[in-house]
Amino acid sequence: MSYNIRKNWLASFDLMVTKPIILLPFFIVAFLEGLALEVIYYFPRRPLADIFTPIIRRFFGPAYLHYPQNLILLPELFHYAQIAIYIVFGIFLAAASVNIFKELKNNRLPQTATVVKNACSRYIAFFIFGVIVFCLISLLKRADTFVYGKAFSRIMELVSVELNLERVSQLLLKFSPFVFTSFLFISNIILQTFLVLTVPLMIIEEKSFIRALFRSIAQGARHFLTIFKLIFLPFSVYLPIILLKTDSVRLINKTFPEINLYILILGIFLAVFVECFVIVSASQFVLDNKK
Amino acid sequence: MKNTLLILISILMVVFSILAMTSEGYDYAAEKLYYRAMKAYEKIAARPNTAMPKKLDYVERNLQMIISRYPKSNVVEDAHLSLAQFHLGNQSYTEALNVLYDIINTYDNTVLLCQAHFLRGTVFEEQGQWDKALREYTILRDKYKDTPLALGMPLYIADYYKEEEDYGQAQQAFGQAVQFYTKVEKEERGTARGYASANLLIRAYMELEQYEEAGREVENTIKNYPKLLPLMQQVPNIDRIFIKKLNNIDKAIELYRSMKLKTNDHEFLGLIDEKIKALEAQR
Repeated sequence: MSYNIRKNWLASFDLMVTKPIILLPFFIVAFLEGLALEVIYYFPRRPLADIFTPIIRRFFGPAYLHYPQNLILLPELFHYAQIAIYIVFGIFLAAASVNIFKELKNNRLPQTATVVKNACSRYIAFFIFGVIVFCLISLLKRADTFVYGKAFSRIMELVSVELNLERVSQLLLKFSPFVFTSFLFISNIILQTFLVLTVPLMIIEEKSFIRALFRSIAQGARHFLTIFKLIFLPFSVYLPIILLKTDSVRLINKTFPEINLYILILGIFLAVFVECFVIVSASQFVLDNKK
Repeated sequence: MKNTLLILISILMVVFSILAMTSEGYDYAAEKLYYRAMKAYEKIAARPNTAMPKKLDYVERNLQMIISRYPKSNVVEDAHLSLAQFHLGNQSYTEALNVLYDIINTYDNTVLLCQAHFLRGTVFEEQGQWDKALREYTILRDKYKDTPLALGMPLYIADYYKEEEDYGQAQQAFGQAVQFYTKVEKEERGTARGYASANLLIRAYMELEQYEEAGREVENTIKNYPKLLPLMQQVPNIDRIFIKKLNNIDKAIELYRSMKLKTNDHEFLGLIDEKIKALEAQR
């Protein structure tokens, strides 16, 4: 019997609307990201410049200490901050959210102390999982770059040399960054298909980290299309933000430099709902499979 | 949950306020003003005929603000020069000259002063006052002779006379350019400035139709600057001088062969071989 994805989404959406407490851990992540963004936004100005100037000069060059180049660098610096927040707090808080989900599904009022205690007791596992996910995403990006590079060169050769379609090759070059970003996006979702059930399995089925990880991979392989469809649409809401970040230099030239800041703020806000929806859907899937 | 959210949002706002109030952004504020002024100026420059007075005022006002409010910022020199260029672009020559005069009397940055003198010369040229323009270019050539802008001045002056069809003055100016570049090339041989002087010297000889001397200078340049880029840049000179003007194919082949000994770059060696082959077929 095929899994009813629509029913899962409706149940997840209903839970988020009727019991918004489940969003709280993700609001805390958004708060941490907001704090990081504020600090990064003010890095070219004293007193933060005293700390950041040597670092930026060393790794990125002195040009990025000035307006508007600091705003071109903003998304990259924020990305590094997001990685740190994800590994240190992100998985832990997602687990707290799954704990809340579990309590709500058992018709119990989630108690903050209990939720935090349960999440804290397995913090090391969540931290390691965060590191594993980050490493896998980095490896995937390198693999994607290699594959895409080869495919794109071949297509360009075909279009511009063999078929001599000048206009088409110009269009391909123009839209290549967006195509690559979309390609990377889909690859990430494929990767998440195998990993997204790990935290729900650890909390709901009370499995150890290693068992939960392997079971998540196994479930991902067994129900690949179901889980992929389950998380693809919610994550797609975030895709326009990712595409806007891809060509930020051209966007700045066409509009104004602060647009990067506004896109990042919008991204933080959207991520609260997207990430929460995905984790709740994954938890619901685990719960339905358990039955 | 609502209370928690309110606390989190309040903390974010407080942190933002603290950072906004305590951040000392003197240079940053000036950079922002400069960027906005230049962005607006770019749009005006792209469509000068449709430039509205409001937009022009906006550019001028922002640049003036940088000069008056942020005189010690890292963009004040650029802002001052941009203001002069802005007035020049609007054909407000008196204002442009006043701003350039301020620049010359305020700053000691050599590059900026060179540009200021050059722009003053340009303004005087636009006004048809060549003698005053020549004075500025001469100051630039003699007082700031170590700068790239000054290096181009002798030929710039000679080209002016050529365009005005004052061939007598042009010949004299090209002759002076030859003396100037010969001296600089000798003093700075082996450096980038020496190489630039050598190229300008070749051009000056070509303008004087002294092709033998030009050819000799090409040969010296190949000998004194045996790096790939200078060698590549002499290829058109060999074609223009030895083949087209002097009709000395043997010398051209000899020079190409000497180039081959000075480089390992396969692509360039392939090009030289093709050239030699073509010339031998022509002989």
